[in-house]
Amino acid sequence: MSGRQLPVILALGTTQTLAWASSVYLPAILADPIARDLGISSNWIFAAYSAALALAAVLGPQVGRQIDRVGGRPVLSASNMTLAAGLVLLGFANSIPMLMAAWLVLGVGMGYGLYDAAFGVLGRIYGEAARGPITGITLIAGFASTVGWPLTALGVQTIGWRDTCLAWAAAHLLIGLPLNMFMLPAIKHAKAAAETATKPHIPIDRSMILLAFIFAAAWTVTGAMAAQLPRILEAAGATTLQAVSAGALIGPAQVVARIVEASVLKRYHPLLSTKLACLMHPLGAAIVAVFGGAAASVFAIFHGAGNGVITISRGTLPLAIFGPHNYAYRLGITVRRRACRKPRHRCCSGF
Amino acid sequence: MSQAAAPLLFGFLIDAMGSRVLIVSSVLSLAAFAALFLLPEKASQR
Repeated sequence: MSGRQLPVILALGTTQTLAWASSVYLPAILADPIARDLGISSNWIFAAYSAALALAAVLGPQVGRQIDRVGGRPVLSASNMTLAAGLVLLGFANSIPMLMAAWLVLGVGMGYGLYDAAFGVLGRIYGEAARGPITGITLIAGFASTVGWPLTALGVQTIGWRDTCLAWAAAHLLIGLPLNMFMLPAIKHAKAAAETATKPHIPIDRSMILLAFIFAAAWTVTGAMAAQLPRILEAAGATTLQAVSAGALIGPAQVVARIVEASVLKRYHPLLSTKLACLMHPLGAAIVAVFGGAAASVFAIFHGAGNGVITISRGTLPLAIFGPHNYAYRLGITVRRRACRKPRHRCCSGF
Repeated sequence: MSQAAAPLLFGFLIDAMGSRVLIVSSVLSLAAFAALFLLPEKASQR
């Protein structure tokens, strides 16, 4: 990571923190107050959130192609506006259809604005030297839940969930949009390239399928734990306080693991750090199996450490294996195949 | 759909299996770990 890269890393780290805190980390805090206010089950909020995640994954290849062609500035700026629009819609939602519509708009913004897009942008700017900047933005955005959950909870307590959504929307327009618009370098001749570009051919070979499977499996665990960790730990015998305290350790564990990745493991191929990361969750689970709920914090640290490195691997592993050519598009394809675990003809044939 | 459906699916699994749902998540992690050994360090250029 060089001094010249620092402004871009700080800008993207900040906008990623904002994007994650105001989308992925919203349901954990807002699901109950929204459900109470609308008189519906909180399962509706999680169903709408699942639909948003699926839509974001489906958009992956298109977003990647856009980044490869025109660079990250217009794509990430569009994500700020889309996320702001989704949050405004959510803030005014008074029925299930409007709730679903709001989350679908948020899903589009998530597709255009979360890590896969940001990693694609860094690959587009720095090529094979993007590993350091990728780690850099995940070090900052690793605190998205640490920052986002308390801020959202504070908002719910003081101004209500609707105004909290509007406040996050304002943050996108006043902080995220200017940072993405003015701090990311413009790609020269991007417009001409966009007009003449043809769809790249990326063979869905054995390596691509393996990569998609690996991240599908790993991110299924991540997604499940992000939403259900406290319940699992309570089922293992932890008290509510132990479970919640353990959850708070995940963010710091992620960041510490990323520092280890950036300092020690960067000398090795990302395959090594990814292998180590994949072992962390089962190790933590084995400790809980032996010691029960009392080991909730240990489990959270192991899971958080593994999760922290896997997030980086999602960007660095494809870059190391396939190189920077059509990198963002390739990331998008692995995202979509992650969402479509069973290989479906339509998922592959268009590429 | 895997990642998108994971929060909901694991919710049902917790109801049925309790904390033993960690066996399912661990098997998924270990499957990813095993698959990593099949990946090349560098893909052959076409």
